[in-house]
Amino acid sequence: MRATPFRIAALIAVAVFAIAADAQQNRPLTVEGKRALYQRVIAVPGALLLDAPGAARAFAQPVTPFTVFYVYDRQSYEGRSYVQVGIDSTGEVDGWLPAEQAIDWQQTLTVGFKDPAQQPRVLLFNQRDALREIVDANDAARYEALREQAIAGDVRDSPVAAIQPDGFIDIRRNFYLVPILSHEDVLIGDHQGRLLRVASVPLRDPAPEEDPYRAGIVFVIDTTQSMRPYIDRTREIMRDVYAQIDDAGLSDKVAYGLVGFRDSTTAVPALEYEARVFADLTSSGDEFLSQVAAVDATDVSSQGFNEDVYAGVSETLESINWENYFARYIILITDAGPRLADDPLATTGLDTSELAARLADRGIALWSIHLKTEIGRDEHAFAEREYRALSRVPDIGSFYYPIEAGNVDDFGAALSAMMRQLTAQVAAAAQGFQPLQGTPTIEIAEDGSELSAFQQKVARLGYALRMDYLQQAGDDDGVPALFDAWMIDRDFANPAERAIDVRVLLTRDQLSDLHDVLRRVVERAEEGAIAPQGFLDELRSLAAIISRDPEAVEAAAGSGVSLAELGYMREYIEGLPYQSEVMHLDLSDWQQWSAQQQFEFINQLDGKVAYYRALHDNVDLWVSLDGGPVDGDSVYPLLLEALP
Amino acid sequence: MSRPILAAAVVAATVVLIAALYFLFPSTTVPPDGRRVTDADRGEQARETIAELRSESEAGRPNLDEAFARAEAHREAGELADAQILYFFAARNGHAEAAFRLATSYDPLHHDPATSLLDRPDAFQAFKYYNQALEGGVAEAQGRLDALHDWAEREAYANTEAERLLMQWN
Repeated sequence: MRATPFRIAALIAVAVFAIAADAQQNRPLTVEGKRALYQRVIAVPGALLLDAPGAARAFAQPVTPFTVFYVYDRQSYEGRSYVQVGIDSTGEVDGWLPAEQAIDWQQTLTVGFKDPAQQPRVLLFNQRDALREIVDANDAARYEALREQAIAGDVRDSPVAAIQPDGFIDIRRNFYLVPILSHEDVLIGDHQGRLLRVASVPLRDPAPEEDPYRAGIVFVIDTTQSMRPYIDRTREIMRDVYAQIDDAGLSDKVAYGLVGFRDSTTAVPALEYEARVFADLTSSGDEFLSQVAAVDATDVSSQGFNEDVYAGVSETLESINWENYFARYIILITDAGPRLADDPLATTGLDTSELAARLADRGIALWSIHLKTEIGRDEHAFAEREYRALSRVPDIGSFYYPIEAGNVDDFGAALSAMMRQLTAQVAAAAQGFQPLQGTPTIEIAEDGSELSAFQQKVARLGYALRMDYLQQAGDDDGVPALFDAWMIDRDFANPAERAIDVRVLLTRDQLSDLHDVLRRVVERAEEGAIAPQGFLDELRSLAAIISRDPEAVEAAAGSGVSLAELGYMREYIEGLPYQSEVMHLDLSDWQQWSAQQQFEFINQLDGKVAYYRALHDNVDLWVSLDGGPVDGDSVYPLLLEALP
Repeated sequence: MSRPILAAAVVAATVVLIAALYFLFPSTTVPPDGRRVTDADRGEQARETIAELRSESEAGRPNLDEAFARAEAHREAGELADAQILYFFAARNGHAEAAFRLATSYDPLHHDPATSLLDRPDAFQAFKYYNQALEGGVAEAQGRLDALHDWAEREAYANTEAERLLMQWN
């Protein structure tokens, strides 16, 4: 059959329609009554992503706690509710979460804590009524007594579940989430305040042991002939790392070990060992450094360029006692490829996937530093493929880092940066971040380099800010992985000042939308200051053009007219615990306003337009919840007062 | 005097009184802050001037030098609403000196309540209009911008406005 122009056009039309229909189907669900605000949920600790409602848990993927998802569908299966979720709004879904593992988070409000050096620490109550009683009675003394009790760790007869962490973390630089689930207005002293229900995770681990969060880091180093310069450099770096750890007062929170590996001693007995533990995690800093001093590269050549790398990793799994370490890392440093199961000189009989599964079982993250020296060029592609697979962490990526040409200085710089980042994570965890996924407190270069990409993966996700949870007497179930708590946004000690900031998590696309709408309003208002008579009509017709709610615009055609009533940005401000003055100003008598009032109104909006633009363009401030580059779905916790 | 005549006289007197009051206190109204607003507060003279300049220019560019000169005269006379509107009108249409005047009135380092319509400085407006003035050839604006930057750096720790202003330089 000949394809006539008509048929081609028809086929194109059908294809376009199908694509359009598909795109239409794959938009996230919107919040009830809103047309542009998507439903969002937060994954609770322990949440599992399923392929379908009711699918077997064996194939489920664990979700990083407090991952923020868009909701694409809701379904029931055998009496249980499920939510279909995707990490962004582009239509790509990741799977299904049982509804009880996904907290609805419609307004995307979150708490920003202030510096405890400037502002007394905030208390989190286990029951709303207990806090409400104190607020209604304006009982500042009781609140203060409870705070002192909580700081002392004394929880007898206390309704306090947790207290804000002692250290300060600036949410704008180190993003975290303490989602606000609901809010109500209260009076604190003579000031209007808010009582907030938040979801939080405890600082103390659910495990019964007293040990705080600790990190164990074991270097697994190739000690064959070509490795001497890298071993020397690692030693130097570790000396600095120990100094940093000591300075930060973290010596009891992080421990280092070192395992060396070579190759089959059956083939070449002079190599002395296939794998040997030089320092285990029980060593003190001084012991570690002296034990590491004994590590040296052999002068004996092994057979071929591949080495028995997996013997080193396997020895680290079996001989090191990882039990007391919550965060577990292996840093593999080698210039060789591994001997796989079918290699007659391999001593472990393990393939990459089997070894990766063992690492995952033990909760150990392996980072590979692959020294791509000239001599091993023929094996680079093979080794890279295996190490990438060995270092892969689901949903985050591969912690594989190549050093081109095996440059010793590049190696030193990369290892130093990684060690600094790990130290920062330990410090952040000690201050209250979720272990393992703590946000680093060091700058990561946004230069698109391999190192920055690697560091981004390390920093990725896990934004729950842990609260200092107070174990209640008779709390037989132990510390919960997640708890609801109630708090107030002002403190009796100084009710005129906010004790915390309420922030709204806006996407970059939303901010861009706000900017565009507000800019157009400002343009009309500016003309309205010069020739006020046409301003209201202009504002109404603009509202009709851009509004997603034409009925509201029509309804506002009557008496009082404010930007809010005309429907401007209603979706962003409605229902928030904040009454925007400028949005609710009655503009119906604009012509009668003084010039001063008009310019104050214009300048207020114009300042926000400029702020939104600067914020939008400053990509360093945005957080990509999917770990990718900054895009329209990236978020920023905007102060509530910075909304129009 | 008969009753109807007396009544008519009272009504007439009332009307005259209202007219006199209206003449003495023309078109006052109560705006959102509860203060009485006069034609002078609204800058009616400036608006009339702008309407004239626009009609004279027809489709072309209004005479901005004239608008600026009138703004200067209003400022000298203490008619700050008129001055502000005319500076704003001229600056909005690209008049660099008018932009510099506006910037100065908003600048936290140069704000003078006696010569500024607004009670408080506004650092971002100062930044915006200094930049416009600089682009239009007012070299002095560069020094002012540098000083504003120094001010923002000093104040950013405790002042949200200064902190946000710094982002404009990034």
